[in-house]
Amino acid sequence: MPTPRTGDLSASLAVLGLLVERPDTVAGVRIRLEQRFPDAHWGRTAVDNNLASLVRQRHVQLAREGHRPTLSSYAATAAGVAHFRKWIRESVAVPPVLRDGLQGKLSFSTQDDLLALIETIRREKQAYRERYATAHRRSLQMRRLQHRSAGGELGYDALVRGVMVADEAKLWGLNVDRLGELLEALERLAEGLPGSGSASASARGAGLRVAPRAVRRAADG
Amino acid sequence: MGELLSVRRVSKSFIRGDRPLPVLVDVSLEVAAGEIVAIVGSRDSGKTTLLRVAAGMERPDWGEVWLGDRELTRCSDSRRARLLGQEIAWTDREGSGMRVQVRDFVGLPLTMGRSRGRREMRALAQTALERVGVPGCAEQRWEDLSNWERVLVGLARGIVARPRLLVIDDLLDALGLIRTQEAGDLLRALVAELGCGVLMSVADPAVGLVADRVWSFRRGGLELLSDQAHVTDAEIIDFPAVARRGGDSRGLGS
Repeated sequence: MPTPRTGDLSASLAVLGLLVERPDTVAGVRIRLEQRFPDAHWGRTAVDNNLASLVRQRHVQLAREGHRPTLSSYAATAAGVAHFRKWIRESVAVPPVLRDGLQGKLSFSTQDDLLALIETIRREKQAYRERYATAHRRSLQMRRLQHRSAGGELGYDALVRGVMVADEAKLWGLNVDRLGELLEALERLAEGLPGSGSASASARGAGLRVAPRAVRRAADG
Repeated sequence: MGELLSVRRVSKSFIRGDRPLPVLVDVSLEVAAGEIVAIVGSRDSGKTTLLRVAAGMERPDWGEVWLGDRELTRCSDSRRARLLGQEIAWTDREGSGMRVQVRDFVGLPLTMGRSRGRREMRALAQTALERVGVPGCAEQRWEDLSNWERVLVGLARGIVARPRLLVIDDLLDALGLIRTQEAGDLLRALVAELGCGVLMSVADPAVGLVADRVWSFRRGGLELLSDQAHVTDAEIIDFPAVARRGGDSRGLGS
């Protein structure tokens, strides 16, 4: 049985990809990595550590030594390009592993944790909503720019970037929906449990948006 | 920018069996002229009911709907019917249900609220079909159109009467990302030309990206997902490489 993979993009592959696009200095790769994947949140040393590792694997080589380490230029080797292209084209043979933190929390939670869990989910939902708004803003900006520069055909990169932003927005939007449903389910659970009067009141007191009772009853069918 | 459409604290229920089924619960939203507003929600969540109430096609149990300075909820049925032909347009992916040519289907809104000759109606419908890029569909029938052609014909039907408010129900879903962008670009161009406001419902949050403001609709209520109605050109500096290279962003951030 094949080993499950998470499907995540590693910092190592991202650094290699940037160098496959073009040789660059360490400082340049740092800036491009941050701008290309602003939501990935890799550590500050991600570029330095992964460059060293990529050099050891002979996927990257020093192209020009700078007078400071951050100004040294690196380029992808032929083996590195081949490795990267293979990664782009290979399929994930099995679905990503499911290690969702929220599922874990639900699995280990007790009734006493319920209100705190509801609050956590509410915050997570808000975070996803903000991500969706960011993707929405990027999408509108990109469309405007593309229209402004219209006249020539749009390049592949501009087109694929539009697709990426739409895909990202879909992901965040679906998560908002998922957490909304989870939130409502747990709120109903809180109301139905023994001593739920205080729990329900606390949920509302914490600013939770609880759907009107009539709507929830009706939706329950 | 003044509000074109204002839905104020609207509620509506349907009777199912022996009990009411609330579909809209205290819903408020606004659409300005030149603005696209999207309602994202799963199928059968009640989005269409919200759109029908906003378009004056159904009365709410409570609340008000205003089109400019006119309160739709206080208008007589005949007055609302006239407005629906003259100032409000409704379009979706449903056909007419009749075996009519596309140009007659597109021209159908022109028959509501005012009398026009068949020749004029067909000429206006043809103009609308040309504007959205499918003049060749005029003599076809709805059943013979591709999915994408139906979307474009739907948009032609939406603009044929040059409405102030265009209401679009589930027209842009399930097109795929590229087609959705094309449809979004076309819609935005039409809005700019007509100066109308758009209220649209979608199931896919990615389709909502074509709008200026996106609301999530769940269990009868609205929750703001994103408001980018006031993104300024100055904020476009996020994409310097795209601007510099005319759409080629390979060197983004370099």
